[in-house]
Amino acid sequence: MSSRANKRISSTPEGAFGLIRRHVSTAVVAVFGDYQIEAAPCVVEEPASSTEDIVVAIIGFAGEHLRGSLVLTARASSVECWRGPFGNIDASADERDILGELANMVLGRLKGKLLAEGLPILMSTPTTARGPAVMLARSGRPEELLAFAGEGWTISARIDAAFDAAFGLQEEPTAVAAQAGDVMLF
Amino acid sequence: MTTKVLVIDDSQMVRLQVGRALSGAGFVIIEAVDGADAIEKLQASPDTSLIVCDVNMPRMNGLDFLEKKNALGNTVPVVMLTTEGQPELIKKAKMLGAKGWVMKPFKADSLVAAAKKLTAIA
Repeated sequence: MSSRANKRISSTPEGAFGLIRRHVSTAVVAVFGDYQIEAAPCVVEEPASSTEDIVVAIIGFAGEHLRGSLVLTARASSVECWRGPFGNIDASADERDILGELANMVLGRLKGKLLAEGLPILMSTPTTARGPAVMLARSGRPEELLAFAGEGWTISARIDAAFDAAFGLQEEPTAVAAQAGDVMLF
Repeated sequence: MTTKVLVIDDSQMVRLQVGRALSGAGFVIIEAVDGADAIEKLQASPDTSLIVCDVNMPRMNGLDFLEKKNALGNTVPVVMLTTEGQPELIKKAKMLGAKGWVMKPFKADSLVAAAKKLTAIA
């Protein structure tokens, strides 16, 4: 699909939300792929009651007439599965730190994709939490919950976004962002 | 002779990843959790040869760190290491004297090559 077609689809809030949702889904799989971890979208399941800790990472984002957040949620044991592939990360980095950086990488990719679609956003630093019975409150904005699974782990990604009435994409996409793994020396 | 690299990132995971990549190539690593911490570490270690710096950080972000470092007259080369790929940000960092921009997730050998080039270690 050409970027012009994307622009046409996403020039409404509903279209833009769908675009954000698709980019988040692609970004989650791609970030795991960068670490040679196979991840695939899966059905969202109601969390079974468990005494195991849940880890949460939240990053807010905002653009012109747009604000939203990405919330990643995973069991602590799921995060543990990624320590090896992420570079044999030892216990000095706790599960909140790992999920927070994962959220940062997912949103960084989303930001690059949206820039190319004429929708520049700014992102906050991650806020993280961990506890045995973490329940997410509804955001009060349009939201969608995505889920992904790999060998021995699952993760959910909730994306929410609200658009002001004046929302619209830039006429022409402003620029193409650098991509994961790029190195530039000046 | 040791070549010291100051790694600035609010994520311990990233500090470990960078530290492991560069220490494996013979660099000595110092860590800072944000720009403000980095200014203190830099003053305590004036023999630092290279700085690897995140952009999005609490308290003092990477671009503010570059400004503060310049104001202090410090000339140690800086490579930004970030998930941010906006050309505007890259341009601003370059204007503030950054010598490189590396996108996360990074490849260890690419980071090591950049570090060696900027510190002139063959």
